Amino acid sequence: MVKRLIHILFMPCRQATLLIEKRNANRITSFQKIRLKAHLMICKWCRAYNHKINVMEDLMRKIFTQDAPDKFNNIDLQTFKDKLKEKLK
Amino acid sequence: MDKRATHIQQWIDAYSDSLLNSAFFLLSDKQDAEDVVQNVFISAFESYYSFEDRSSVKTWLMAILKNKVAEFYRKKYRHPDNVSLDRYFDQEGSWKHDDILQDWNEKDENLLDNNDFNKVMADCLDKLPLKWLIPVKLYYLEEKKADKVCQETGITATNLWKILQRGRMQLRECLEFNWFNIL
Repeated sequence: MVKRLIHILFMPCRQATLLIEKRNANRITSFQKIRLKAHLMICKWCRAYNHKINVMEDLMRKIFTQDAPDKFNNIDLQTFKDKLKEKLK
Repeated sequence: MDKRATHIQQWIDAYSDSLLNSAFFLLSDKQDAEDVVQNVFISAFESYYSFEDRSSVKTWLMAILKNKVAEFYRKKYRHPDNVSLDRYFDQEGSWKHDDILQDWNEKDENLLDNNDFNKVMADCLDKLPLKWLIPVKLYYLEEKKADKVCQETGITATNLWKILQRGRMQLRECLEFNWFNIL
């Protein structure tokens, strides 16, 4: 019942969670921002999601911008370099 | 050898390592990573004279790499299918399950220092289809410049938001199931 009311008055949760993405990328219009705030105020589901997204956003930013782990051993690497050098002489 | 060839040979020696690892991180496949990095050096060779030391060599090569990864993506996933959220929302667009309400005890602020957590996170990321994971990673590497990612990968803005939304929904579910709920 509550969910249904939220849907009618303040856009469906499916849309609210999409707006959260846009907000985090600074791509949200002022009007959308107000609607999202209103939605989060009354919808505990999206509020919980919003909190988890913020935790994840931080984790993902850190993981995706740190140096990539070593995946190629020295032999692979040398073979790759030699082949490429031969090609680009 | 001319100056260009000499330089390229030096760069291959100096930067293959980090370029290959970055490419692997983005593509999750060694052969694809090697192909893409080879294309990076071929491009660098061809556009050598327009480089003119404006930025550091590594930055320049990394920029070419991101471009080549996006190109790889564009060719491979030319027709992205619909990103469906039916797993999480009903027809009305309301949450299907209440598990979203469960608290995460994430007070431990240095989760990323925890090896067990890192393993769970890596497994959860591995479970995301590359079709979503590549744009998500590019989005962060491009410092969340959505326009740039869209332009390079050929994904529409609407679809990029949906991919981010869908990818995160799944990641959230996986982390919850394999980490937070167990604590």
